[in-house]
This record gives sequence, C-alpha cells and structure tokens, in this order.
Amino acid sequence: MIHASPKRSDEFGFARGVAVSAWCADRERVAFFSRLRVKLTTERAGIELLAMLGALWSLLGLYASVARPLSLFGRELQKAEIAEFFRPGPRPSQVARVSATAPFRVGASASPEAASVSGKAVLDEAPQRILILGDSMIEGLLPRLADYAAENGHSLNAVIWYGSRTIDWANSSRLTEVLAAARPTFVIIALGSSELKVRDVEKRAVAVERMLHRIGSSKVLWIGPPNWTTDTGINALLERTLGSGRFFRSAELHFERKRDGIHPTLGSSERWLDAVVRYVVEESAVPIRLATPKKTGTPRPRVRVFSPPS
Amino acid sequence: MFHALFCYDPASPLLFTGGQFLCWFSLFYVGFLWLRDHARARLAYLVLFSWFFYYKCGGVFVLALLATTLADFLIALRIASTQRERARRGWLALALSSSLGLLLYFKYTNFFVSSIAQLIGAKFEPFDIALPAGISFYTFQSLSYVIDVYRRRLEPTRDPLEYACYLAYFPQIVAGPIVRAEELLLELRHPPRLDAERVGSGLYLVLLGLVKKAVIADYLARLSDPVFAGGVGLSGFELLLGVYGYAFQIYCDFSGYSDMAVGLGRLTGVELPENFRAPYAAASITEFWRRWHVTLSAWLRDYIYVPLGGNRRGRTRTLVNLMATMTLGGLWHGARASFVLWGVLHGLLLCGEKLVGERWPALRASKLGRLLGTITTFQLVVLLWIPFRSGDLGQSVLLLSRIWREFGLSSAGAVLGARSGFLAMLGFGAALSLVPPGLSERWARVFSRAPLWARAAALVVVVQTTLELRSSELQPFIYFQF
Repeated sequence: MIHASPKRSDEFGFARGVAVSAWCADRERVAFFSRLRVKLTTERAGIELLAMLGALWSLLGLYASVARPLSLFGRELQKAEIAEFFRPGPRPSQVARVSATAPFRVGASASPEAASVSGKAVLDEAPQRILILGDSMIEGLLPRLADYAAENGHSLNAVIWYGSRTIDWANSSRLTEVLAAARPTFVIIALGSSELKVRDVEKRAVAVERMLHRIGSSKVLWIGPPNWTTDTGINALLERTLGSGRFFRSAELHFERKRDGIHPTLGSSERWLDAVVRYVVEESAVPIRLATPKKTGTPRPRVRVFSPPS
Repeated sequence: MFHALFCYDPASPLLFTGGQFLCWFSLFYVGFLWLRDHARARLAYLVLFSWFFYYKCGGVFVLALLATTLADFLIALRIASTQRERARRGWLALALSSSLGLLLYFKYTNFFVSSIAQLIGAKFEPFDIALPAGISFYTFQSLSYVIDVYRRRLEPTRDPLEYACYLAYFPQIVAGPIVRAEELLLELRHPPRLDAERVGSGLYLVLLGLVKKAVIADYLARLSDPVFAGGVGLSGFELLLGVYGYAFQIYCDFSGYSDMAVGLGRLTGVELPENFRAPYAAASITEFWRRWHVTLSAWLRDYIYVPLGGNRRGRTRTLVNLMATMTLGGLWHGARASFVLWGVLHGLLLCGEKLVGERWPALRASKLGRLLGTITTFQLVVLLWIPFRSGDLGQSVLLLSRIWREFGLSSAGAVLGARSGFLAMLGFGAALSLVPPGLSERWARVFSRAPLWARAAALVVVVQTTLELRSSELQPFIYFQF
C-alpha cells in the first residue's frame, strides 16, 4: 500500500497528506496498486524487454531526426527510415499484373506527359554514335538495336554491367570511362530492374541526376525496367526525374519471360525494342532517324561486360 | 499512414526483419504482458494478432486460413465423437480432401495441368493463381492434428480459440517450424512462463536470427543470385563461389527465420521445436535430414514414411518407402520438376547409404570415417542445391559445365581480393552452421544473465548493423515461397 505522509506541519501540507492517504486507502485503489506491484515484480523480464524496445525506438528516432549523421571508422552510420515503415508501397491497382503468357502489347507505354511533347521535338536525321548501357536487360535489346543502327547508319556501342543499379553507376567512375571511350551523341540507358523492390527509392533520384549530369549534353533515353513484380516506386521516380519525353515506361507491357521469370525472351525483347523505337520517333523529346530495318541478324556490336557489383 | 499500418500491401509484407514488424510487436507485447494472467483474453488477443499478422503477410488469403481452421476444428470433434469406424474414416477423408484440396489448388494446379498438357502435346496457358503465404506449413499442421485425433493419439480441443491459435500462431505460421498440436496446445493452456532466462534467450535468438538473415544471407545473395540468374560475365571460380554461397545463404535464411520464430515463441512463453541442428556437420545424408528442417523431416516420417510401412516390410519396401517420402518432400517445396528431382536425388542417396550401411556397418565408426563422411555429405548437399535453386535441369547442367570448363585458379587471387566482404560472410555463415544446438543454448543463457544495459546495447548494435549491411532490396525469406 502506498502512503503519502505530510512532511511539513503547515496546514496545506497536512491537508494534502490526508487527502492522498484517503485516496490510497480506498479499497479498490489499494487492490489496483497491489496488483500493479505484483505485476511489475513478476513481469520483470517482460517489462525489461519493453524498456529495451523503448530505448531502441528512442535512439533510432533521435538519430533519424538529427541533421548531421554520425561517422564510425570513416563510415556514415545509416539512419532508420522510420517514416518509411508507415508509408504505403504502390497500390496493386497502380501496377499492372504481368502474365508470362499474355500477349505482348506495344504502344501503351508512354506517359501522358511524354505524349504531350510529341511533335514539338524535331527529328534529328544525322547519324548518331549510340551508346547503350545498363544491366542484363541489354542482352535481349541489343540484337534488334543493332539492326536499327545498321539500317540507319548509326554506330553502336554497348556496355553491360550485370546486376547493376543506378547507385552503382552513380558511385563509380565506370560511367565517365565508358562515355570518354564511346563519345556518344545518343545514350540509351536500361536500368532499374534490380531496383524494383528497393526500400530507399527516393535516394535513387540523386543517383539518376548524377548520371545525367555526367552524360552532359548528349541525348538521353531511359528504358524503364520490365516489371516482373510490383515495384516500390522506381518507375515513378525515373519518370519524375527524367522529365517528359526521355523515359520509356515498360512496367505495364506484357512480356514472355525466360525460365528465370525475369528476363524477356529474345522475341519479346525484339518487340520491346520496336515499341521503344516507336516511342523515340513519335513521342519522345529526342527523336532520331530509326527506320524499320529491312535486314535482321546484324553482327553483334562490340560489348563491354562487367561482373555484378559485389 | 492508416493504409500502410493496417492494410495488406503486396509490395511490403510484414517480415520479421522489417521495421514495421518491430513496431507492431512492441505494441503487441504491452497488451500481452497485461493479459498474461487472463487465460481467455490472452488467447483471444494472440489469435487476433496472429490473424492480423497473417493478413499483413498474405492479404485476403486469411480467409483460406479461417476456412481451414473452422473445417478441421469441427471435423476433428466429429471424428472424436463418432464410434463407427466407417464414419470416422469418412470424416477423415473429408478433412484431408478439404485441406489438401486447397493446397493442391493453390500450389499444384498449374504444375499438374501443364504436365498433362506436355504429355498429350497440348498447348497450355498457366492459370493466374497466387500462392497464399505459409499454406504448406499450416496445412501440414492441420493435417497432423486431424490424423492424430483419428488415430486416437490426441484428444481434440473443444475450444475454437485454442485451435485457431495452434494453426495461426504468428511466430511460426508463415514458414514453420511445423508444430504438433499436442506440444503447442499444452503450452497455450498454461499461463506463459516469462522468467528472465526464457525472455533473455528469446531475445538472443531473435537477434541471432536477424543477423543470420538480414546480414549474412542477404549479403551472400549478392553473388549467388547473379550466379543462378545465368552468371554471364562471371568466371568459373566466381560461379563455384556463388554455389557455395547459396548453400550458406539458404541455411542462414531459413535457420535465421526459425531462430526468430523460436525466439518470438519464448518471448510469448511458448517453446517451439528447433528446426536446425548444425546440418552441415552431418556425416551422412540420413544424418543431414535429422539436422535440416527437422520438423518437416519428422512430419514426413510420421505421416508418410511410417504409414507406408517404414522399414518394417523388408529391404525393397523400405527403399520404395524412402523414395516415395523424399519425392513428396521435394514436391512439398514447390510445384516444379526441379524440386521433385531434388527430392528424388536425396532419396537415391538415402537408399544408397542404407545399402552401404548394411554391407559395411563399421565404415563410419572411426573418426577418420566420420570426417570423410562429413566432407562428402557436405559436397553432395551443395551439389544438390544446384537443381533446387536453378529451377531447371538444363540450367543446372549448364552451370556445372561452365564451372568445369571455366574454373581456373589464375583469377582466384583477384576474385578473392575483390570479394572480401562476400568471403567474410561466407566464413560467418559456415561457422554458424557448425555451431551445435547445445552450445547455442549456452550462449543464449549467458546472454540472458547479462546486465540490462548490455542486452539493450546488443539490441541496438544488432539493429544498427542490419541497417548498415542490409541490402537495399526487400528480401523475403526463401522459405516463404514454399
């Protein structure tokens, strides 16, 4: 039982002590405090666990709110993105369900923003030095792109960095090196397939901007990932960051997949590239000459290949 | 925010390794402690939270769980109250067909129909059927309950809440361990014992599981995933490294989940069975299956192998029973020919061991024999992970032939230098896979006796380490797909 006895002899202190004693003397309250004390004693282990969880949440929250991150052994300590725990992912209705066997639909990919610029950009008839770079999706796109390049007098270079992500390209010197070697006038990027499920999607905007900054004044077209699963926002981010007419959204296309369930088959990739070309010529902000090739089976151009980032 | 917290989101299911689970568990635990001494309220609270957890993992498929719960609860009562053998058998058949029917529909429809279509040369377009999370696990639990009641080994519970909790208990519903009703129901009937040792060791297992999954397994996936996705541009040495990496990735992934499940069980006063006992230290394939996914092996033994006759009907029948059990075990993992093949190959190895063991019983008695057995078993297990992970026999052969043709030690130095992080994680994974369960329990006891500040510091350090090393992609547990 808890008693509060008056420590001072003045009238106010005495009155307060009596009131508290009376309050505690109430039978129900006594029983309550008694139960609470028993609970605190017997549940000590559980309450200790709650205290530890409380301390953890406080520390994570406190660190997440400080402006300057701490460093340990020269490495910046990550912040827990607590707000992301409560942020919904993309709704299923916003993301098309991809069926491995559904027919391939073309021409339904461009965003309204991209479509609105069609007709404004002037078709560049000059031969281009095309550089296509990105992840393993390029393997499928390359044969058909080689046909288009040969037909239209463009030169073509390709760089495949298997399993790479925007942050890998942005944080390494590889992009600068391949740009210096190829000196492209038209850069096609096919990246994002390895970032469909990233938690920190907003951080990728910086990586994309860094890549665009390094590419400089060359024309850029970004081919979005062919979603085999719902993404956490990479397509929306790319669309937003690249602006109108430079992003081809592949997420809602229907692909026939290889047995890995991820990569489109060669035939599907060819139709995918045809859709990209139609977008470049008819709707994009960077239209170049890309007449339909009369011949197929053009020898594969020189491809630089890099192992997956460790 | 309301949607993210309370609604199912296929892009971010509730995982033990996620922040949202930590948040929900913290809130749940406050109520759980308060209701600890109120048996009914505690049980109802556990059931509601478990259903909510399952809804956050699998969405509307919670209805399939509810249907299985209701059907098998009522059928078990009918079986127990019926004396006529024929009627009992009829009720059992109804329970088996309803539970297995759901499992077969969700998991195997496309597999069986496409196999038939292939046989008769017809074209087949797969049906668009999603697989409910954990259906293989809770269906097996439900089956074992009804079968045990039918065999009169178990008195059915008359409390629907108890049965609902047995089937939906959140630490183990999505990926096991597969618990028997007699074990879990008994635990649920008594007020949970939450002493310092149990809670401390539970927290230790949760942290150990978190490190295994979010730090080691997810890091190893960075090489093993590209290796099994074609491995273009990788050297033979890297391919081999990726294959060994997968062996420890799947161990750390699944045993990490199991550790977390057992740990969460202890935090809620329930002792779940262990699922792994240093499997890669096994000196034979038979021993491997007594150490790997122990609760599934025991289920297959008790409900398939023994009813088929086990080893009581002569050598040939024993071998046939072994093959049938392992083939079904392979098929349990998924509706793919590669899983069946994996099960068949394990079955063949078990049969081979049985024959060799009968002929030369003293072969593994010596220390050297055991060492050689351990090394050989490990290599065989790793070899069989290739078709398991590749998903295709052709791809498995291609990967093996590439390793054979392109393997060279000339690039090994450069690869080892460039992949030092991967090698370190491989080493950690290997070391953890060899820790005997007794030693792990001893560490858990030491942890539980540490001062409060030390345990709190360990919690903060482990969580921060997972934040530092985690992959940026959401990595669901491998066994969620089974």
